[in-house]
Amino acid sequence: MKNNQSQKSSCQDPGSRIQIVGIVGEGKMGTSLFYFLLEFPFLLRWICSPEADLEKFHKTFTIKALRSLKTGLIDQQEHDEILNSTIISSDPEQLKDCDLVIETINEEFELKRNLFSRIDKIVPASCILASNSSSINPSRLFVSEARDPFIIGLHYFYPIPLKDIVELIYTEKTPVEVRSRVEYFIRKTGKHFISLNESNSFILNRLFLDIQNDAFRIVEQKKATFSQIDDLVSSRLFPFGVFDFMDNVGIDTMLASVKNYTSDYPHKDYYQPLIDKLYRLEKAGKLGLKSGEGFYTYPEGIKTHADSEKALSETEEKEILDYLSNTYINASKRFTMQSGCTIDEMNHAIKEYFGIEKGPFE
Amino acid sequence: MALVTERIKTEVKEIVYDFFADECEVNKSEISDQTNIINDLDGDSLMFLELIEIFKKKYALEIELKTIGKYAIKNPVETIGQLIDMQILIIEHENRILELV
Repeated sequence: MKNNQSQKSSCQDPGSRIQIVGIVGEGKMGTSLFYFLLEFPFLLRWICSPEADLEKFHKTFTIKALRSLKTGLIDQQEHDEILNSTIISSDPEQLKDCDLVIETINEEFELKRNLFSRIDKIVPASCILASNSSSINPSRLFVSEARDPFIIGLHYFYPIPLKDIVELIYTEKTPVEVRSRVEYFIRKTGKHFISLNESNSFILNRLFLDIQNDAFRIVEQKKATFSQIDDLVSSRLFPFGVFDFMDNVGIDTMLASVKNYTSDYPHKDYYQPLIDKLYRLEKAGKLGLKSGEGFYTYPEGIKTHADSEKALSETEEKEILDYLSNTYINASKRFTMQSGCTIDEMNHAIKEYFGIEKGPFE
Repeated sequence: MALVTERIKTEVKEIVYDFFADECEVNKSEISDQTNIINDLDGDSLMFLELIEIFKKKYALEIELKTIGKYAIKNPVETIGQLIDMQILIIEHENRILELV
């Protein structure tokens, strides 16, 4: 928690006009976003679901505020201001004075759309509604002619304090003024962002999907197993494995996302084997880490796999790595050209996304 | 390189102990330098991250979380005592901590 008072002046910059921010959802992304934004001079309204343990959230918030006071990061007056100006509630009516509301609820289209319909009737006419969805384009969440220009995508990556990149997704109806307000807001929180139209939305996940898809095709061709691919990828390309990633995200979420990303691809058949595999896993209740089984099994939360075949030869390893590296570079080039982002922007975005030292163009 | 006085060392220890007592809802007297953060306190990497942020602000440290991450990969922290030692090194060396690896 930062000194709230000392930053108040910057909050009054004529260009900002975003001072009261609502966050909807108490999952790990909603929680991460709430505590991240608490560091900045916004007034926050955190709306949790009716089932949420509000008392627990209040307690945690109070403890963190008190800790900031005890460690000398804020004084008593600032501590009291933060406590008095922040609302944690399960009542969406508390969003009534917001300039921006960011939803972080479950990745289900109907849920999100219903939420926006409800919030639309509560918030001021100029309030921007942002979805943190990782696969649903903001125009699908349109609710009314008057509100639609104020609906955008604001895709943060988890954990938010560590990932210095946000995807700002605008629609055909988004006026320049709304984009400027949101860009200003993102800059104010010290994050880099890339602005994307809906044809190029979620570009970083789409880029990774190409790698995931090609990795799966290698397994399908019986050239390597899931764990052999993951061992190679996590030791030579990125800090994590391709299938590990999917198990961690959740097979159901992955399936919904991949279907959304590829729905308008002219070559979507290329992704069908992966979609079929995800579908089979989901149908079998193998949702990844959270259910104890996905591409791997997790007895007592610890990953195991049943690979007992001989190790890959150096030549086989090189062939697989070359293949996936080519996919990575080609996808990076293609998406950079498509998106209209600069090479520097994409280099930064990709490095932050994967947590790597060098971007594809360095 | 910043001079880390005995007062700062005591302060760091105090903050770390208070932090984990609060976050993990345990009595401070149950925590020692040998306490394992994950096994004994059910702590996680996000707590670690938050703690680092507190120290960054408190001592106005010029260090990126990524740098700390790289250092931590080569010098894994398991116990409260190790975490305190690492924090003192961060205050002392900031971004140059990787030169110690």
